[in-house]
Amino acid sequence: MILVCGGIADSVTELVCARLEDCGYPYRLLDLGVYPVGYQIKWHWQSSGPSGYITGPDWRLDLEELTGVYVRYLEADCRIPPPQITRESRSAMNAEYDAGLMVLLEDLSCAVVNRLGGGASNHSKLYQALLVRQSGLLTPPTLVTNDPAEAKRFYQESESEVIYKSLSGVRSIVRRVRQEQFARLSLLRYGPAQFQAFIPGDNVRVHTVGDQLFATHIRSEAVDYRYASQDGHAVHMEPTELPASVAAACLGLARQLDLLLTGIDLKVTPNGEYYCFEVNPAPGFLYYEQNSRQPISTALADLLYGGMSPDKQWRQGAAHA
Amino acid sequence: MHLLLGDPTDSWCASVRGGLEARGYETHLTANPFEHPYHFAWRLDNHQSKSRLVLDGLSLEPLESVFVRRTGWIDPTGWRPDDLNYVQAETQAALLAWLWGLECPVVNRYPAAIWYRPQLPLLSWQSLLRGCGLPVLEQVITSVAVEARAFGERLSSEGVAGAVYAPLTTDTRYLLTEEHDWEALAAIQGCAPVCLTYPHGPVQFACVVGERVIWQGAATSEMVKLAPLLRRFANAAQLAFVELALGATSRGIGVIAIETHPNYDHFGETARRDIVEALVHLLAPPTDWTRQHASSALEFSGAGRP
Repeated sequence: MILVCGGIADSVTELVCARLEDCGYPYRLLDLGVYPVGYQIKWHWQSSGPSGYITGPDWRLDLEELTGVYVRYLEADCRIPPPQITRESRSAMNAEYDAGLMVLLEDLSCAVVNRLGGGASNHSKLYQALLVRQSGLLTPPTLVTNDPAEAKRFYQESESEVIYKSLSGVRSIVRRVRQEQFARLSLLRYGPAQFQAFIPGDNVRVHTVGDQLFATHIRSEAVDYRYASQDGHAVHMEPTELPASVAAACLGLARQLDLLLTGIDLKVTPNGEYYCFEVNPAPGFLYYEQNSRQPISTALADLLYGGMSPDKQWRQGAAHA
Repeated sequence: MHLLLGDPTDSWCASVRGGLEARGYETHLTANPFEHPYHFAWRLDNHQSKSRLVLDGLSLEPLESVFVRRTGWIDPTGWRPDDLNYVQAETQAALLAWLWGLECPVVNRYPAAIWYRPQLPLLSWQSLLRGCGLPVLEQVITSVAVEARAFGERLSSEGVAGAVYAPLTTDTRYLLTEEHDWEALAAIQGCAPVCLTYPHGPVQFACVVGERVIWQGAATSEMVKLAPLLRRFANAAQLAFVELALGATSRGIGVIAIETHPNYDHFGETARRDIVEALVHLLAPPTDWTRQHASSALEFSGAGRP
């Protein structure tokens, strides 16, 4: 039995549920939009991992039955709190609900997509960059600074081909640095920013699902293709093959981070070099699946249904990243 | 230069700084090295990881060690909440990565999962504790009043006076003994699952610093036997400096709390002195012999570079 934890209004969660139905794989939905209302749980830790159950509106699921769990946490504004919860205590109660679910998922022996621990690396792109360097993929020349003079020097050394973007988990649009923005560099005194040499070439999005890999070649004139339409550019996606060493590096990164599903952002230069920018632990793969027709959600459904065989229990060897 | 990341009022920072300076080392204490008046620049690519940290025209590098108590604090005064959240996230992200990029000893070089969630519930550590052979307490999370009562009744049948309600996101604990306690718990269960566990006796604090396990006061022989397992746990958690609390229950000793940022107030004068000495040895091995000794400790404890 598969457990899906997420909101039915979330398009990725909806796709996962639809694919599970399509594949004929039994699943239960723990709707985080309303949880804990309508559900009853008992999760019991003794000298081993958790045992117990979850009951929904018309079902009961014993934890021992689980072959896989897919979870996609919701923002506070996507949740309906229990009626007796005051507005002031909503945030604390949501944290308590999530904490309970997290400790359960961290300790289940079945496949969990994804556990929280490995995903924490995504809050620091530079921390991930250090892991990427070890994986064999290339890291763009990067500067993190709070010094305007250093930022200008990097800009000149990079022949004015520099982008800036957030280095934390806060989503930002990748933009080129323009000379007219130099006046704003004085704001760096309040905190560091990330600058990177612009890497020419095409974007390649890689989704790893367990030991499977789906590479999607993206063609767009936009600096950040995710926002191409805002800048009047088109996006074209198609499946592509990666060199074996690059594919192995991507799978190795996912494994090192203990992530059964990742979205890895690469760029391939005209010289055929592969740079890695980010490993996303909660990828919105719907966008890529719709455009490239790659069966990412089917692979995910298979993984959740089949579980991980003992020799593929990544947690045994995964870094506690 | 030995860098201490923390608040001037932080007692561990003050003590470690004192210990380093007493041995003639230069130190610098700051809560955030990435904001004015510091000038920070870090260049990273496939071939190099080079940083520069300058204050008033003087370089603070090369750094000989970093002692970490803060994850990049920003004074909220004058900030709009959204901007503060953004610059805080950026600073924390930069600091985490920079610490992992440094060649020198860093205590603690926190893994991302702990850096971003320093107050993990005890249950989050359950799997690692079990894997290291440490005794853990039985716990149950339930939204069902009957199940909570059954847990309490089972404890009662074992002669245990009550159960403990332990919210996952706060340190507050509530002992449930009377009928009205259970009724109040059932009311809470109407809107949130609750976590219940065993009551425990007096708490024994232990601090793992590298290879050393330092007890607060006199630990029982039964607890002292756990020292190798505590070291194993600290190593597995990649923490060179971590506090564990042990408590005696009706079923024996169990780990009842883990503090990834050890609490100064949990230790007396003797233990504090030993802890500080052990920290100083990790951060600044003073002789060749001790350097070798400390290097193996760093490698073991995760304080060294990966």
